[in-house]
Amino acid sequence: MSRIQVDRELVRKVADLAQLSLSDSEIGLYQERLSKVLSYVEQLDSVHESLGQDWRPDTARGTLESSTPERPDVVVVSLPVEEAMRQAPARIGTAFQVPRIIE
Amino acid sequence: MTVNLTVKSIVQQIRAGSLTPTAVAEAYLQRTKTIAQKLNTHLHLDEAAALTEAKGSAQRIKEIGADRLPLAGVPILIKDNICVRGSKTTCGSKILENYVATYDATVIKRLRDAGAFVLGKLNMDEFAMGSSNENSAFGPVRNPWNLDYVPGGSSGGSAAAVAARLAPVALGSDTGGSIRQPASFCGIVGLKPTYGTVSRFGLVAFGSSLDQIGPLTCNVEDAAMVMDVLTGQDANDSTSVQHPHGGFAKALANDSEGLKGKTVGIPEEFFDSGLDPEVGACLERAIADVQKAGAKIKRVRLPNISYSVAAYYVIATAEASANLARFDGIRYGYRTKENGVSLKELYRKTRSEGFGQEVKQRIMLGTFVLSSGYYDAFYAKANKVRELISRDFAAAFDSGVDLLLTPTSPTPPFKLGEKLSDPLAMYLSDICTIGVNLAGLPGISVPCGRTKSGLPVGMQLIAPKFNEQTLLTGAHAYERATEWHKDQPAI
Amino acid sequence: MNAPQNGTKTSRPSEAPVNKSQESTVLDRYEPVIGLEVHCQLKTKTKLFCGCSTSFGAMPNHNTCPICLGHPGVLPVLNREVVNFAIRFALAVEANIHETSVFARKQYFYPDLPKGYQITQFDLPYCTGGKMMLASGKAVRLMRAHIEEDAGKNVHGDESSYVDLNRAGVPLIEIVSEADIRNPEDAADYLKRLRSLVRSLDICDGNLEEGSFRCDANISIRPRGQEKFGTRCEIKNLNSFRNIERAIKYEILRQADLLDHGEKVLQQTMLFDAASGKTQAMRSKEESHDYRYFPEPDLLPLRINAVRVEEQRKVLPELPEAMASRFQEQHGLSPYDAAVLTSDKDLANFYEAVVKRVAGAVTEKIVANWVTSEYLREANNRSWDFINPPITSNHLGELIELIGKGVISGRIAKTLFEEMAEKGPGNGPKALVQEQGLVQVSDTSEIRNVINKVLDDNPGQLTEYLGGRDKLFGFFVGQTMKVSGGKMNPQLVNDVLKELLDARRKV
Repeated sequence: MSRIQVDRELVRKVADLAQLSLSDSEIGLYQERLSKVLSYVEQLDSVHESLGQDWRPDTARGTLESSTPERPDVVVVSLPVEEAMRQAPARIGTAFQVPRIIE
Repeated sequence: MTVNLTVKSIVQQIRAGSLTPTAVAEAYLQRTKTIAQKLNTHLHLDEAAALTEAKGSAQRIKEIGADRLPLAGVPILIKDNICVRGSKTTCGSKILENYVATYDATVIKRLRDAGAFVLGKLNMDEFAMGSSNENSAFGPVRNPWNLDYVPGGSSGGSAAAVAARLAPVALGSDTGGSIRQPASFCGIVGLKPTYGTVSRFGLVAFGSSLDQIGPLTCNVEDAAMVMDVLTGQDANDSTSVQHPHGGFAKALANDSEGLKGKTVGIPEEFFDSGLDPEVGACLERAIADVQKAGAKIKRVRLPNISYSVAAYYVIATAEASANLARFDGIRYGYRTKENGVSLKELYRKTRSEGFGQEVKQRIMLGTFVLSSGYYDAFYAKANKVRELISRDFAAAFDSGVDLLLTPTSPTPPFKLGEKLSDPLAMYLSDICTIGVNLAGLPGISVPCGRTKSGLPVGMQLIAPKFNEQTLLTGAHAYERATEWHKDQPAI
Repeated sequence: MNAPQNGTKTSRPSEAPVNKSQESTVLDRYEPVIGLEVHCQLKTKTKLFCGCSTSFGAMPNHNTCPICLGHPGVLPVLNREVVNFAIRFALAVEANIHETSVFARKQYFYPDLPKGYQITQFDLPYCTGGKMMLASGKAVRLMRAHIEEDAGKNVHGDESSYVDLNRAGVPLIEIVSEADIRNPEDAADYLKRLRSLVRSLDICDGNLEEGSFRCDANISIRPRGQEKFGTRCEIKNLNSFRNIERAIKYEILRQADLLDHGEKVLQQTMLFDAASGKTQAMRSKEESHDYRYFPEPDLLPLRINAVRVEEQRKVLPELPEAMASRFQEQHGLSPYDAAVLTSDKDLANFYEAVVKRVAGAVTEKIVANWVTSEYLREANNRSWDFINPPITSNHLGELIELIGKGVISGRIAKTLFEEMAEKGPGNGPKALVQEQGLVQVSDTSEIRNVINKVLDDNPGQLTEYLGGRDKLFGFFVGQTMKVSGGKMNPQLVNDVLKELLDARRKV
């Protein structure tokens, strides 16, 4: 069993965050599977890493000398709007249509 | 005819004038028509498009000259998560079932510029999530060696197609073993390059810090030829690296040493009791063959490798959960058919209806490990463990080892349906390949034997970062010393 | 305006504007604590991570590509000029530029966010610290600034909303102040100066109406003397400086009223309704967002080294503070006038253009007076901008030059200016002066004649003046001006009048 309590409430909460809707039986299924996988990955807890205070995964990428590549500020011709809109499941004019957003 | 063609032989014959791209395409298409359905390798087979591509190749040959085109006239099958403009790019998913790519992936441009052409798009595990190609929304792919068995995944379509000689080469993608493991299950060669060596621009992202595109071929030399064209920094991919690349085919041709004098490391952790005995037997023989070819064997340890699957599943699913957030039915792709839904319902129904179960599960896991309060314990921690694993590999290489040798998969190919009920069982079948992605190293799988029932077993070689040359010359030397690559399934 | 009744928790200060005395008692008892966040669109030619144009006003989705549309398989590549602009900002506010900073994904679902996440900077922004000086002399510390991409735009219909992604991917810097501000006037001043700064740096248009400069305010109050901060609310959608002040004032009173009734201030996001002058909690139930930040795997860390910072320092334009100092030192302007003129880059440029045109006919101080009083008054009333105003720097310069050369009096010039502001510049001040016969009289003998007649025509006042009522000097000046239609050189009138009066005394 995972030390994190994977209950139906948690599964629903995560599904909400991920914009997935689950049926009752799916919630049960995912609860079981997530619980199993989570208890497996929890073994990472027991790894003692001696990487030091200053080592961070995000800043350790690339090298100190090289920064993320940059491109010049020169306009590149955009996609023709018909191309941009061609596969829109719903549109009005050249805008994508969605149900009314309530602010 | 096609069963005897290779990338190398096609280029030679094109240059000699005894073959044209169209003739090549037709030959492969003919074979595809009779076989592909049995295997379910192909998605949206479009003959007309393929022949148009072949004509494009012929035009290039005419303009530039076949001698200046390293892959002149070579047809390539493309895993369906790589964008080919004007062509459906479904990623094996219902949520993109009718999506047509609006641009070409960089690798496609490079292949065409080298004289090759796109022959078709291949089935795969949905969004590259899977190790058996049973997670496709368009049906599973079958292993050409035995149709009741899986071809491996997620590049199952790529491996099965090449093994069945439906093309001399296919592109796949590898995040945790998705090129190497299916290559091993299908008895062919599959290479995952060093992270950053091949542009990811146009590869639909799964685990952004892990994904690489690579070739699946019938032999090592073909893989080297294709790698020459694929590799090199791309301004469109900020994670692609400026590093000496290419010249692999030439290096192979000029190499006389092979494995002589090389030290091949055997990581203990991959040869423990968890290994299937038949796989173990094949690997034992492979190790002996490697020694016979002149290499020294050395036992090494990768102390943190047992955590690789856990670390991988945290990192890959976390990145994937964000990468798949764009699939919402608003700008392209599948949208729920239900009417009168609210915005929230639009998102939820579209995504729940459009994604398959494995994808949803991984999105959930990835969402959870990044959620408030869990980031440090999971994602941050997993990346630290990842660093430890990288250092383990580096230490092993630093101890005088040129290549590491492991099984590609702890088990031989399994039957369709056999591992579907237990998510962990499926994940654990990646245990030999995952660490290589975590460390960003290049790895290749070559066939090294068969089980008693005739199913292929593969051996993995791993080299230090940017050492594809060592990898390819080592694999080539092993290939020359053995005959496994000459076998084909009787399909 | 009804004061809340004792014991009734349902009363609220329900209307704005508020009663000044109520406002002041609130401020006696509570101290507002205000922090400001500004999203500044950088005026680069292309977006942050793709080569699409950032031009404003294009038809929906005409400035998009697979990258900013969030198509599968695309990857971001950073715009060099964005980093340069960001560095310039940091230099101008004396922030600490970090050698290594990291981009991150901020995840949430919204139709104007094509990837389902925004690429921003989270725990390692490119700069922290820095400060902005206010007119009052107070320094407002900056917490941080970071680079991020803008979202697209949603337009709402009745049953549907429409998504335009032209703006998606446009580069922003988000500038966050510390909660150092203690009153709404300082808040407005901070924002005006920040806007002026980014316009001087030429990195942002600073156009609130078009949305290239967007302000959010975080406000809490605490009883005076209390150290602990109160609960803060965020007000979004503040699209003019006036509304910012109004919104903050209202919010302070709203929070004070809650606390006065023993209620708690809830942490909420508010919108300001300009029509009613009130802040209102946003309708959607405010579930606190879990943005699940993690470092952007498709980008490497941003490394800014000292060489690059120096390169940007060299190309910094003259900043408002430096310009204000120069105006004080070289033009002899007062700190107040210098501050007013440099509060807007275009106004400062306008002023300097007028100075140039006047070419020394009057002092800069006089030009500054004209610009800050006459000109600014008309400009504000008539909503002129200082780039292409109807009365140009050339016109104003010409007018002031006429004063300097003694062609017209200052008073006539003012009248003429008002007329030009109302009716248009016509053929210019010189021509108008000729057409209307406004050239002032500087002929001493003519002035002498007129004044003598005035003195003769007012014997009573003359006797009183000579008897010691010095005040009547002004009366004689006034009469002279009246008779001459204001067209006499005032200085000369003064001198001649004095001379003639003294002469009469001797008689």
